Amino acid sequence: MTTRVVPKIMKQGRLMPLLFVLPAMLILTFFVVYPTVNTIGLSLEDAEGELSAATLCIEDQPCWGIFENYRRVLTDDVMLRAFRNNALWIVLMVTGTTGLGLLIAVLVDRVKYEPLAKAVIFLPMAISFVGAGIIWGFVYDYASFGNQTGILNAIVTGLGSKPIPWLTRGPWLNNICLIIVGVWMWTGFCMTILSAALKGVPAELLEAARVDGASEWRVFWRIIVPMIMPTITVVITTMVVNVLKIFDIVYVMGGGRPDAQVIATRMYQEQFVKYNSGLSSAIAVILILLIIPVGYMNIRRFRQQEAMR
Amino acid sequence: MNKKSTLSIVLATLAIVALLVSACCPPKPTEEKPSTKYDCMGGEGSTVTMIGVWGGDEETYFKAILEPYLTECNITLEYEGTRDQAVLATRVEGGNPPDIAGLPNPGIMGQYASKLVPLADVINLNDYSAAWQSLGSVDGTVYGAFFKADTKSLVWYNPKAFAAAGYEVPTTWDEMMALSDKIVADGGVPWSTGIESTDATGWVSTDWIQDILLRTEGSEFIEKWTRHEIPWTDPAIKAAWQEYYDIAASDTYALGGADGTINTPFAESLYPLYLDPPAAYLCRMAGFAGGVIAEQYPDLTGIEDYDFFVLPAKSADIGAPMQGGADVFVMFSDSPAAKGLMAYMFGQEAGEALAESGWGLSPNSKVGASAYPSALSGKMAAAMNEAPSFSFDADDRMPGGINMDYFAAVTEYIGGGDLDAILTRLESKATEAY
Repeated sequence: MTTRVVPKIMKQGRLMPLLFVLPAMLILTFFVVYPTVNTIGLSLEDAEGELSAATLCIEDQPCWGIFENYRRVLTDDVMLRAFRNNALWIVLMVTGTTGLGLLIAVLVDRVKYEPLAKAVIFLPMAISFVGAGIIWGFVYDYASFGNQTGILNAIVTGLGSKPIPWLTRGPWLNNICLIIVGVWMWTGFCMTILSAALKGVPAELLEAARVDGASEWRVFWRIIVPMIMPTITVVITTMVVNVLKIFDIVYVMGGGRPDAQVIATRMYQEQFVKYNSGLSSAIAVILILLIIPVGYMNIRRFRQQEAMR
Repeated sequence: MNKKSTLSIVLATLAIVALLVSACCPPKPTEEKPSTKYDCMGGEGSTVTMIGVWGGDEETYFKAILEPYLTECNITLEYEGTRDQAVLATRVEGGNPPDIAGLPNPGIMGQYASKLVPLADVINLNDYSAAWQSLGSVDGTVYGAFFKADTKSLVWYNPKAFAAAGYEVPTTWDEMMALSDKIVADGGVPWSTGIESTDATGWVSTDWIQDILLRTEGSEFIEKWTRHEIPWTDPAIKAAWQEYYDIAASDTYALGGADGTINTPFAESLYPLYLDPPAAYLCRMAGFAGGVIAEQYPDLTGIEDYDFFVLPAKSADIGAPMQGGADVFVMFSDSPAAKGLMAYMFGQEAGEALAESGWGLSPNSKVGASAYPSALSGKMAAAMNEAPSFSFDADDRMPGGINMDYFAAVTEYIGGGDLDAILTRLESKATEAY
């Protein structure tokens, strides 16, 4: 009879796993859990975070008790427009970046100067949001007199039309102009990840399909897309979270005019311009609630992938 | 040479020198008053505590103006500059107020009235216009005096372009609108109305609207509106918005129409007046516009090449009130040193020192236009002190950051928003904020 001697240190007690996760738990508690709980608390209080939000209620007016800040957020039409704009951002920017990223990744896969092309597309990612906002501010610049500094309006007036106020003509043009900047910045990110996934598609699979007579179109939709679907999902969910929190571009390019506000700029205004921590916390909580399902989808996808291995 | 002759030569030389000296420089009338130049009121050697709103450069300017008096009377000034009104409130509540306090606007004065020292015996109130005195009063007693002010209700123009086109400075609102029509008829654009100011875009419009309200309803209306005793949906307020809209969002009156108004940075909206030929003729802008023009067009000189007139009256009874900002000083202590310092601060000399520094305009009417470094600022000070009343920015004094909502709302309105919906929204924000 042989007894296997396992060194004591190798044995996992009940405490050992806890010790391993402890540092991460501590950091998360300090930097994520505590601020979240605190924000939820503040969202139920007044502007100074001193009294319950229920005290903000006005007689003979609709009131949601301690959820009064939420009522104000959800009934304010500037805020509702911010939700609408954010939805537009998600639809256009996520499809724009993922679609263009995938298209470019597939196309550059077939050319010799692939690294150069990819570097150029990726370049905007290296520019700060503020820098990009200023650069695009010049593109969209509008002058009511004198020369047009903005390239778009220089072209428009050159063709004999009146200059167009790209960033202030609501409710669609201004948002679309801002979203184009977002797409310009983030397409490189999507392209890089999708391109890496493309390289992972086995060449023999593609070759077999082509030998069997599949058109390139068919190869793309029937083989490449299904093969890289997990990556596409990750890219999409990452972009959705990114766009939900979009702030910099909107803020730098006009400070978030009433027609171009998004959730994050509203939150900023309430907190840092109007010093209303109650309302801004309520907006923050709503933003968290919107992000949670996306995060959940991402985690579920991740688990499924793990299970497949 | 013997000693005697040496001495006589020395004496003769001295006599000649003395003669020469007295001839070239006759003794001045005795001007120097070693310790009587200022009335120290017996406060020599003591300390005055003061809380003011100025810090940084402004604090330096302010202290430089007080310096001669402080040195002369050997008074130590303990100055604390803070924009946080809670600092003063806490100290007053704690029974430890500063001797003198500077407040950003007189609205705050009322809450301290019972603890303040009336100024009638401290400073020479006759140097201040009735408008200033009444602003500094609580229930008929003057407690606050204004040290430095600026002006907003000005319309800038180009005198040479006016002369070339045969236009005259309007003296009434109707004349101003008739001039606007005339400019349109001549193929020009009368107004340059840019309001762009990043995330505060719209504040210029709120000043415009307040100017219109001041001319239709008077300054008391503004005070009530500020306290939310008049709702945003009041017909007078709506009418003022519309009147402003008819200028700033008009394709014929405003350069670039509504788009030009929303997109042109407010400071840049002064430039088209000084192009050749001018792209516009009138621009309503605060006193700082003079500095903006001087910086953009260094070759132009004030009054001659660029000038202003006060936004004219709509009715003779109300006249043309001046909108602007001013810092009011109050006294919590009647110590001799504090009284002496206040008397100096609000006397002619300190007012002239302020004028000369170019830091701001003095509400003291003894300070003549010649005290200012430029004819333009002298004219501005005169316009301010001659105005029938002075009105502080209403929205800046409203609680809960409602001014930011107001800025956004007025921008939205120029862009084509529905006025009734916008005013109703502002009213509900105001109801929540008060």
